[in-house]
Amino acid sequence: MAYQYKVLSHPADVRLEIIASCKESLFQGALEGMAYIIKPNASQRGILKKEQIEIHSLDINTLLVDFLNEVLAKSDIYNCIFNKVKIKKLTDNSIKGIIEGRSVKEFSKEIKAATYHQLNITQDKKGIWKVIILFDI
Amino acid sequence: MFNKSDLIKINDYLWEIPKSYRKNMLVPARIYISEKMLDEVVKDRSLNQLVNLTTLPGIVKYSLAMPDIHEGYGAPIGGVFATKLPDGIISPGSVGYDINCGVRLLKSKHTEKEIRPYLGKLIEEIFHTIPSGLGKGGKFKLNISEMNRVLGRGIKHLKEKGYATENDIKHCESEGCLKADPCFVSDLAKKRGRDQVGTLGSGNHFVEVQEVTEVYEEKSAEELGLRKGQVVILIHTGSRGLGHQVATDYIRLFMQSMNKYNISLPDRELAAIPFSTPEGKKYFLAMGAAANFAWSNRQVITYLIRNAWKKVLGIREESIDLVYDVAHNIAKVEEHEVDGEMIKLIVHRKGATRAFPNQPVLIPGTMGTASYVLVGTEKSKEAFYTVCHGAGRAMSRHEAKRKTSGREVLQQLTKKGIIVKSGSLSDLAEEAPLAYKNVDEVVEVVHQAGLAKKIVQLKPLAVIKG
Repeated sequence: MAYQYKVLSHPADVRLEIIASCKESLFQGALEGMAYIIKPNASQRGILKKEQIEIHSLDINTLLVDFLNEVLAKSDIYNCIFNKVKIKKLTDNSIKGIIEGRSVKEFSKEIKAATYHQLNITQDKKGIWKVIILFDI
Repeated sequence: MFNKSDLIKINDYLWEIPKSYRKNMLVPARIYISEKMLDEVVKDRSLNQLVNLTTLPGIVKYSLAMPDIHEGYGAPIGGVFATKLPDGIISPGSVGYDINCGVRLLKSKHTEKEIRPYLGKLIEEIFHTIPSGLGKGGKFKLNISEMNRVLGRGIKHLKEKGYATENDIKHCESEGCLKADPCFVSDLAKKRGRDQVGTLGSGNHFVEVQEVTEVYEEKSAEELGLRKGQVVILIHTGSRGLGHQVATDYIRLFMQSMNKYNISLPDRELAAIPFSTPEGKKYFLAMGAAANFAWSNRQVITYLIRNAWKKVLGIREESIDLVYDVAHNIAKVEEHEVDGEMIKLIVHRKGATRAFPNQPVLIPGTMGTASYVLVGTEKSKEAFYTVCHGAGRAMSRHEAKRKTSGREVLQQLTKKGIIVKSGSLSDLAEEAPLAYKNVDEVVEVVHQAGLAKKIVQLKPLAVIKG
């Protein structure tokens, strides 16, 4: 499980690049990157919150965005920063697992949504996964 | 990226990208802009996004961009297009995630000189009364039946509860209530919105106390009840998490449904299907509900401002009247002339403002710069009666933070005598005036193009940033 993420510039919004060694790490990296945008250096002292997720989508690209949007909705409802996912099952069009996070007093940045704009998950010859996600801020 | 040579100059403020530019274009694309501003616009991908709009099934005449255009996702910000009913498409991505993000202007009966001694206390009271920033719910918690009434009837419901006046309804676009069905709004969306009525949110959302600094058209200003030196209040916010969730739900649904209707688009985020389909009709009614939520949000903020005003100045709350309230992220069914015939169209405005003849148009600037009140003109029919929605971003948040700091922005505004309240210094840097185009130039384009005429200029006295 290895991944890294980087927040990139955009004229109006924010882009997040994730590079990962496997598909599971790609989802974990995207989740952690999104949590970083919402609140960098979030305190780990809040109340632990675990939520089940199960999402079915058209393909791996839409699955990643649908997953992040589901997490965003739960963040908004519970005032939580979710930054971990324990994946039970991941296919090219479905994910089942548990997301974990902690409650916070407030967020630093409002993400309106993860978008499908120019979304293209790739895997190179070495098996490295890469994607850039645009978030509407 | 575009070259300026790809565009044909129609006049000093209108340019066209011909249908021949790309094979899949169904109509040309047009942009209202000055030559100087166009030099900047061609540097990002906004014109490519404008061209993508011309491929949408059912589009009529042209896709349009306003001078505050900048790159977004799917449709550019400042993008406008209309499709023909009943089979033209409706596109949630071309409305945007913040459904009915909009602007509301309130007028007081007082001058800057009269209010100045109370200004610090007033802005402090408003800042503490209206939750800004994120993860901060409001005082108004809606149960499910209240939520459904707000979604279904907008500010008409709030009037019955004592939070709005008849005058508020009269001076709101679409009287603050679109045709809507709360049944088509997901439980998730309703949960997100339950404590968000009467909250600002973050980013570029704000409440500003302003002064009328210039009057360009005495008669029209008088009709709007505006005069030089008068103190007014401008509110910018939208449908919060509820609207974001409605957009998210329907963009996802539309993407899953596009194959069924044989629609393929150059960008997934444009996700669109015919208006006449069950999915299209459902989105339209859910979008209407989210729009009603946004108007209710701005109305409850108005109610809270009136209370703060009364508390600090000890005068009647009715002394704060609504001038107008406009939506700038919305799709509406309207009648327009196409090929000499009046037909019903679905007009999408994403970061663009409806401007019917004689209708007030509110164009917010940035912290420290001017905002404007205009009124629409008959000439604007060539633009589906639409104008710009603000200054428009000129640089990314990263670049803004590289060029300035929150502290520096705060110092500059304080130096100008503007009181600033913000929960985040970082957000102040991201929203610094230098991150935006020159609003004076943007407004001048729509004025010179004849789409709307300038009535008054407003300048900030105090700013609350979300």
